[in-house]
Amino acid sequence: MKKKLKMIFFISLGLSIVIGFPIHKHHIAFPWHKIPCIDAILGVLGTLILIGAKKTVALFATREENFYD
Amino acid sequence: MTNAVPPGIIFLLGALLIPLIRPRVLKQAYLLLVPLITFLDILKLKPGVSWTYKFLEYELIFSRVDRLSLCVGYVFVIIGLFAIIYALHVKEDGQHVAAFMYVGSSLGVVFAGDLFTIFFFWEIMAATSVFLIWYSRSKESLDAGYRYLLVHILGGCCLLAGIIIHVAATGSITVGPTGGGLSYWLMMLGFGLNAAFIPLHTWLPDSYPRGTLTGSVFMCVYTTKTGVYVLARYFSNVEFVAYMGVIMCVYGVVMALMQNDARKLLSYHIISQVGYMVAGVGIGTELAINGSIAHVFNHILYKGLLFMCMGSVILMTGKRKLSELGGLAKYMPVTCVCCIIASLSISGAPGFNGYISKGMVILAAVEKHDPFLELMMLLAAVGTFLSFVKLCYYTFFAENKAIKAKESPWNMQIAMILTAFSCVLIGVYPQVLYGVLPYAGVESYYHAYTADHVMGIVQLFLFAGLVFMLAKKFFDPHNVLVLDLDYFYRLGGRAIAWSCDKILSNLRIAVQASATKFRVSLVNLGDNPSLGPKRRPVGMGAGWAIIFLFIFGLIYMSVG
Repeated sequence: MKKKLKMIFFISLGLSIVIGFPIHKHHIAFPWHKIPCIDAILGVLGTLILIGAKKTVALFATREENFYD
Repeated sequence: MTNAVPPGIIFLLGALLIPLIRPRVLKQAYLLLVPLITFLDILKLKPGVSWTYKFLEYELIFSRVDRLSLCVGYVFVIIGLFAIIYALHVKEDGQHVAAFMYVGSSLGVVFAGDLFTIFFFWEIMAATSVFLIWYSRSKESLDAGYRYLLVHILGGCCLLAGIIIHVAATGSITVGPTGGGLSYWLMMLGFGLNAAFIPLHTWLPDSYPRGTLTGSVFMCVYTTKTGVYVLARYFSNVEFVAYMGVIMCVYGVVMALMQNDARKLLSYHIISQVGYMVAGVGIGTELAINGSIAHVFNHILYKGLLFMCMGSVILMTGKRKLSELGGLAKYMPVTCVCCIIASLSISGAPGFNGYISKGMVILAAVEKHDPFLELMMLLAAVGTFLSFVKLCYYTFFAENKAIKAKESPWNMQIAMILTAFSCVLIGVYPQVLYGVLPYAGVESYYHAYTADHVMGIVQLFLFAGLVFMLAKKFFDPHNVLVLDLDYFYRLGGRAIAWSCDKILSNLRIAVQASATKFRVSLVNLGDNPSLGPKRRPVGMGAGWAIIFLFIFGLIYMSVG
């Protein structure tokens, strides 16, 4: 079951690139809107940025659960 | 003009009758009847101003009806009905009374036509909603309730001060503040506190997770959305507001990703999603305001649903931490499906309501040609998706053999199904929503389901999901507390308490001692000096006076 789901997921990834490549953005306001599949790139970059942000905040803001008690 | 009653009044008066109605079945019917009557009342309202009263030399307006107030009014009553269905099993009348008064006062704010009336209902909102926290009856909810109340009283004071300065300067209570000035910023502070502006947001993740399971459903809807509503009315097209919005978007998401308590995670996502609305208000174009209010509408539905789902999980398992949950999909299928629908809605997946409104706000940012706004909103969209993948996975699908549960009571399930259906309905058929937005004719310039928009969102989520899969350990929930900015407020509070205890207390003792000394010396001056050496110190002053008088007499006589 898990394997099947993974397979479906990876097929969807591939399909989204294949189908999305020729589709251009309707509103081109910034240079990156012209890059094909920019949203896929933003998805990866965004996640990496958030992991970085999460790690950074955790570095100095994590305490024991009963910290305020 | 219309004869319909201001909708808030129906809820407020309706609340008073709740404890008087017996038996329980009749009470439950009554609880459902009030929101239904209110909804019919709103349908009867016609644009314009009515229910005006003279107060001092001002005219207070209890019912100002326009497309903006109607749109927010509809969704307030709809979710009110769903939340009441969800809470039907609650036996404590006090909880129902508090919830009704909270809904009523929120509707009062929405239909208020002047600043004094807004303030009046604003304060009732704070005073009634706090009971939805206190009814949890735990020490931590009691403490959180007091903190919630203190913060909202502070916000109310700022708002009142701003209103008074504004009215003194302009003489108007109907027109909002414009330009800078003290009243402008004080009112912004008052409204912004309810909308959870950073860094005034800390009351929200502190209090909402500690509310009652049913009370949190009400709380997640009204306070922040009335904040957005008044901002839309008085502070639209303000650059500061737009930037504050996107900061909220990202801040809320980062903090949410770090949470282990399911309802705390949801609370941080309120800040993040309200950020989209605030940003839309700040951008201020027709599309942005429509997007912002559409997001208010949608967010109320899916966030209410998320709190309902997590409330069900907590009620049936007794556990609220993601690290202790898992494997509930097979025990609570209805809750699981509803939670997935709500998660897809909040993430903005095509086919669900969040997709419609989030797209409008992001497009408004693009049309404003502000890359910072667009990129921050996209980053928050990625974070929201990841956060809800995490929530659903660790609650319903992660392996946990120790957990056993059954589905929640029938009324909770019905409420969840109705709310989930609304999310899908708006997602599939957005015209329902377009028809009630503040600016009519949105279909002519906004098309939600274009190939590039749909494909963009699909790619964004699929590739974010890919990184989630590869780096899942970074998203694992842990039993830790993540400090928020309230750490500094608490430090400040402790500093004040310490200064009261040490500095001010010592100062009081010193002042009291010197005052006592002074009083004693005054008494000494007034004593009889002839009482002898025993009382000499007491009569010393008088003795010296006699001696000086004698010397003065001698000098006077010798000179003379």
